[in-house]
Amino acid sequence: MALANEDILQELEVVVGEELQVVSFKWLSRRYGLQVNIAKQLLFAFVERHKSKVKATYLLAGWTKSEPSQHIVRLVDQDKLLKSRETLAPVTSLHVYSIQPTQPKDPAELWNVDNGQLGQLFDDMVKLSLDNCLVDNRWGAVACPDAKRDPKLAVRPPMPARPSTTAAAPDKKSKASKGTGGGIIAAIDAVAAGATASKQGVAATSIATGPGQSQAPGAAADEPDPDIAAAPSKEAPSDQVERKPSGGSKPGPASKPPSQQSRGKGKSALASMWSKAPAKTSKAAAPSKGEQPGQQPMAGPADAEEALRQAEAGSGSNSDDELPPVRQAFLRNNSQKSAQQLEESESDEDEPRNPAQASLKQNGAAARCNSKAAAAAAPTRASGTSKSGARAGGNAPAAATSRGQAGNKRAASNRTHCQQQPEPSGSTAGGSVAGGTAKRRRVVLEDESSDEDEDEEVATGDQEGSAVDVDAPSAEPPAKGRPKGAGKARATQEAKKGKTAKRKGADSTPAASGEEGIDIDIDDTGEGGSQQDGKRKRASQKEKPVQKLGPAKAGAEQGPEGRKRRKVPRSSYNEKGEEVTEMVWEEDPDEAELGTACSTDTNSAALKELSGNEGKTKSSGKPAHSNLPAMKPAKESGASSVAAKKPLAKSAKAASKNQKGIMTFFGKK
Amino acid sequence: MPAAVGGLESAQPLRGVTELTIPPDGTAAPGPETRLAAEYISHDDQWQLQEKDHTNQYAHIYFARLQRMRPRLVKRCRQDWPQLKVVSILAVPEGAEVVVIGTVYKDMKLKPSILDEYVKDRAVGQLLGHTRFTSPEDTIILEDESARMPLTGDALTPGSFVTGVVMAVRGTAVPGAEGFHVQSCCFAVLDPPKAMPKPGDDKYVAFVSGLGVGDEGGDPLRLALIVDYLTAQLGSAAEQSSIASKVVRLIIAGGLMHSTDSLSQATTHVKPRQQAAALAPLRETDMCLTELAGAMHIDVMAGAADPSNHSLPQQPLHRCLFPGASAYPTFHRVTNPHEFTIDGVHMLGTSGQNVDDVAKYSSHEDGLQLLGACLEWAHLAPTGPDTLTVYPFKNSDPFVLNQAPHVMFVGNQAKFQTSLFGSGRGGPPTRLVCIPNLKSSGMLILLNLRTLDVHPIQFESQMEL
Repeated sequence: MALANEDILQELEVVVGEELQVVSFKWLSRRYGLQVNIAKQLLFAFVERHKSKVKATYLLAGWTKSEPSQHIVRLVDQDKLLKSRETLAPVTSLHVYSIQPTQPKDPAELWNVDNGQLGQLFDDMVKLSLDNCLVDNRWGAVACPDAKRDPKLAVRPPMPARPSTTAAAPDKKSKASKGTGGGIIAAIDAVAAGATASKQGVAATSIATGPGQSQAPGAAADEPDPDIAAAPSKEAPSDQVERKPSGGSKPGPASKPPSQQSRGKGKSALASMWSKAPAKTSKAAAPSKGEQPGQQPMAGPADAEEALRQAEAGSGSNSDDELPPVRQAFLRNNSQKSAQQLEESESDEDEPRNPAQASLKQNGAAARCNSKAAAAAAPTRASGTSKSGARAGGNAPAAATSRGQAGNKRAASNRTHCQQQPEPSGSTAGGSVAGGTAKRRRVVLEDESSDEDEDEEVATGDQEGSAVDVDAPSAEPPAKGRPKGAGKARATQEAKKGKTAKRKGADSTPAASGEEGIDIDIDDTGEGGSQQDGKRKRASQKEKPVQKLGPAKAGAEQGPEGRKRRKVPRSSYNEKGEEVTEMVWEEDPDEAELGTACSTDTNSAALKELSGNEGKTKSSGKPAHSNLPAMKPAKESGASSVAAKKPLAKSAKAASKNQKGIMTFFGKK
Repeated sequence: MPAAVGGLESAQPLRGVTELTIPPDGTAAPGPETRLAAEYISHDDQWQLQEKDHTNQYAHIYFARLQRMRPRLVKRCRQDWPQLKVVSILAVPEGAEVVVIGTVYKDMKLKPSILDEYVKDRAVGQLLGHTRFTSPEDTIILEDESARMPLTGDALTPGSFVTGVVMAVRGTAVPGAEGFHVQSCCFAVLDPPKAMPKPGDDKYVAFVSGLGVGDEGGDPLRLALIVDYLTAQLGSAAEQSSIASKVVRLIIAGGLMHSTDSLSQATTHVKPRQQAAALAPLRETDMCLTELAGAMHIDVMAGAADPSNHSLPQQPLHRCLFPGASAYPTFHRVTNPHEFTIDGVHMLGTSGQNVDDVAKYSSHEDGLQLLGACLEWAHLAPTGPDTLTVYPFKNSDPFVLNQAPHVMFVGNQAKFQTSLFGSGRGGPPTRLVCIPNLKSSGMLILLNLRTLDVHPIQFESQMEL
């Protein structure tokens, strides 16, 4: 207490006597920092001392004598105190409530002063954060330990800080959401993301580079990467984005150029046109498989080699699942590559050159696995398959990231897949003709969740009747050297069958949960198993090698000429529970439809039937049955596995555009 | 009102009552006592809307209600009427006595309809001023998922039901007669309350409602007295230590502000002074709550006129409304149906909308009857969503009661009432409390957690005898 009681009493004389203010015990308590009961006693002392000068109001509490008895707390004038007190028994409280110079006419007078003081204290505390009695009711007779003002509680609790990993995630999201356009932003974000991104980026880059690395021993090395990449894949977008501008567009051109150049100059213009679009597609792909873009460019050559190797390996091992670690590694690499390729292919697809390149790449991926001449076929969509494969491998993580995109991709993939190259003849490389025919494109709708593991499932080729894939047969063939169109086609079909069978085996589990990621498996009909992704890329880059492969594959591949093909989306459930939708070229539209109807057919038989039926589709009227089933199937099986692994992450829009563009392009030709 | 026995609920002399009527002797005041604490568990999660989607139809609520209550009714029917078959309305045979379970729809002549506005015949105008829409011509219709049928029979008193109640009726469909002749009816059984916790010290939970801050005709001094009383500033040391220090929690059952009209007028185009004036009631409320929160735990429920959402369940008032009080850890903004367990005593209550609405459409007279009816019907707000605004729940009806609480309170009632409601099926009875509007009654309600006795304290500030 700052002041002695006597001093306070003297001050009260001024306050009440000269300022004519109402003084309540609460006001006194707060004004002078007195415990409330002390303040009451002070007021009583003041009243006793100045009975004639002030009017006092008492607080009286007790039980009423009247029935029913009631606990009552009331304010009473001093004049009526005694009378009122008689009505209560017992009395539980009696003290001076306030003193004032005159008898208040309105109870509110007693309240006004207190309230004014309270308002002042309130403002001080809330606005100025001053410490006063309101903080903890310190002058009251009872303290509550819990009641202690904490200004932090008055504001919304801050959102929990995002972990560093989350930082990357946002980037991913942003990238994903933004799609192609987001690329730059994503890149920026990625940069902002900083170390985490960098790490991931490293992984991604490693993966991306992986293809190159993988080329030699790479598979093993790459394998881990993919997984990592998969995880980082989310982050990857940044990398992708970064790469995309430089790598994606550049790589596309670079890798593609060969094919374009070889195939046709006219495309270049288109390509330039498309190049813009590709970025988007690549971005879209990137988000899902961010690594791909970067890798693709790099991978191209390496991939081809790897693809060959893989193809060999793949031929040996039909099912990815069954594949030994090394193979898996290859597969993963392939898948990664494929993914990259896919992205590229997507981007490429957008671009005129793309078809060829993409097909090359994609096919290459497929081809790798499927030494099958799929080379010819596989125009672009093969990459899709490869993506699916990728999914299985490292893609899974990516898939998760890409899932959101998946929807788009799906659409895109479907569309893109549709672009099969029915007419190989048109294709530059005569041998490559085959590529167009038999190629089945499988669009795998991957459940985001399921994507993770190596997807052998890719196999289930669902026929996508709707989209007619115009493969850039010409481009592919030359590059891939898929000369044997018809044979290839057959081979592809067979390969498909084989793949499907494999897939079935692998995919036996139907899981159609969320089909987030749509992997487009394009089985390159071209038996030219040689047409591996890498080969394709290489083909694009290095046409000759591909061609070399092509011939080998070509034997297997059958020209698809002459048959009507439909692209039919077939969805199947993988072992993992992912729903895989494949675009399959079916000769028989009806059957194709049927196939579509029974999307879930995992049975190899069904697939085979479908494949057999595959025939006519809008695009190419030439039916190509795989004449060289035995050869191809094996290759295909390998390829298929690889292909399956390749995850296709394409933005639907981009894909659609690409398809259209390709379609028109070919149509013109 | 009868004073319950126990704690301070009985009139008993206190020592040290008059020690404040002596001059200070110069000794320092004794250190403050410590307010008692109680273990508190909130069960308001069920009332917190995780998503606010108002695109749903209300039919889902009735469906969910019937689905949830039917098994309990079937169970009860098998116990009470084991010889009777439970059938759906479409399967009711003629002439045979059966049991039918369904939702009540009460056909009321006087029930206001939004369509009345478009009726040229203004005979409906007579409704204006009505506070109750029951009439002798009201009829009861029972419906389930399959069909609906009118209920007849003297055993049924339409006045005691409201739309939305789920019940089982026993009777026969008399050939040639219209409707289903009801012999008797029953409702879903509530699980009895858990056994009361082991008696401890006398602790009180305080209830108030209808503060009515900002009411021109109100009495701010009386509210200040209540605040001071709860914060242990008012009264003798004896009363402070024997009552105030034992109030472990204050429940404000809605009705903080007199109205929110001024708030809705305070737009950005208003001059600062007008804005401040418009916000004055809110600030005053905040100051009041700040004083309280500085001294004890308080749960603030939204009421009909408070700045929260209108439909039940009302969500907690926003913290931005109370920049002062919300800084206290003892300040709890809670949902309108408010359910919690304090020291093992399970309490459930509302700010009164549910009971008030039932009152308009039934012949129940007072709050206690209505509260008892809600317990009997095993539903907290049966008239929602028909005449009571309720959030359009999709897959559930959270207002269905499963277990009777120890204490069921309702705020903003015309007068204080309390009673014990026993289901007759074991377990301790439920304490029903109608918390009167503070503005009109000046009454603070204390509930003894040990005995569940209720102790009202009347505050008077008029200084006239």
